Amino acid sequence: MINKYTTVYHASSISEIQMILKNIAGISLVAGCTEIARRQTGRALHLQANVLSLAKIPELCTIAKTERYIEFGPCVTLDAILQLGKKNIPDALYDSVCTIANPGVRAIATLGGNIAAKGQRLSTFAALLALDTRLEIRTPYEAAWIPMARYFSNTGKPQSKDPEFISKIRVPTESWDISIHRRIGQSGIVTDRTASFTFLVKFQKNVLADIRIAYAGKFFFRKREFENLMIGRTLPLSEKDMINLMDKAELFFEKDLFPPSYERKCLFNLLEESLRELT
Amino acid sequence: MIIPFELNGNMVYIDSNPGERLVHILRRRFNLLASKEGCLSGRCGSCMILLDGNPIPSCIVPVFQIRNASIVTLEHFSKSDDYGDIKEGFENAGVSMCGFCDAGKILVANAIVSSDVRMSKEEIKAMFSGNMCRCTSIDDLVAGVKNAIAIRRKRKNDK
Repeated sequence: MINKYTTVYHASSISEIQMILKNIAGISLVAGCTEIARRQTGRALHLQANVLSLAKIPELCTIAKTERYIEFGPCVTLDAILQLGKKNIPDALYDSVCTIANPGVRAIATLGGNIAAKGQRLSTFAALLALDTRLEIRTPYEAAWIPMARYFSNTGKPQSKDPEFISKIRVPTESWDISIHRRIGQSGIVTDRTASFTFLVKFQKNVLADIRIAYAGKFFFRKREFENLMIGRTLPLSEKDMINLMDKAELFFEKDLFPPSYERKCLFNLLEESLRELT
Repeated sequence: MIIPFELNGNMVYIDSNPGERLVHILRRRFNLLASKEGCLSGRCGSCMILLDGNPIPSCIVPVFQIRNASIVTLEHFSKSDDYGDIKEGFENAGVSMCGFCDAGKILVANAIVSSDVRMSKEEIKAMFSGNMCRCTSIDDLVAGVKNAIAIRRKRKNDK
């Protein structure tokens, strides 16, 4: 049904967004609108009664790179990320953006929207989770940096008292010896079966120095305890190690949260395939 | 909601439901029929327009997003010299033009031809991944784009 009474607000700076959030209760924030369009097939898009458009706010469209990280505004388009080139951003992030839709959609879809979309986690989520991305979250009154893994929750986090929005996305740019990103499901479109998996490994001499494993679909997982089990092991891993780790993985990826299903099988197949790279 | 934007070089103002899809506005309010209504999810490319110079499927753009933006449709683009390069390149490669997917094919081809980056065959194919064209083969399309690049370069050098 078309909401004929939608009011669209346009802000020109972060302080204006904060002011609008403070004064208008229940306002919904949009940027590229591709996620809204993806979920609807009607003649017109059904929008909330009050909508705040963030797309053309210069402060939210910036990209800044330092020696240790790259900082994206949430309204940076996916196409702008690809234009930075594979050398300038982490491989996992580049590969994950490449799997999204087509160039036309990527020219308007934003990184912030890809992270914040409700329900199904979209393509860059697993990559950013594995890369230890931090988000700057702003409310009308304050700003705070929060690790992405802590900001989002599988079980639904308690509703914040104040409305909030992502104002920066900080991605560490450290290099990884092995970087694998896989997308599950039909290519180019998001369905209930769409999920993504990221596997990152760093080694020093023959010792596994760091490993990151992330999965994002209907649920998302990043288990530090499981990763810590592997850090410090000598490479290559033996067949016995492999069996042992796959058995442990069954315990770490809870069955109550992630019930046996096609997606769970995919996760374990991808995990096994990735661990085989270390044997 | 009153939305001002530049359409094919002219400033226009429309009063519309902010959630209305741009493709419907172009077709029904302005009678610009080169953008066809297809999948309504940005996958088929038949509703392609240039939004601030970038080829974008207009079916996924709610009209409030185009405030103060510049929109160019295939009707206006086809009057330019750039269109001539693409048309000649396509003709030489035997690309057929059924009419339904023309907007997508031509505007994406123009983005590739205008780009400073020299693209490989695979990269050109990837650029057309948002176009569902059943009237011509992708290899002919790539050949057409390569012809158009050569024609554009020759035209620029002759100036």
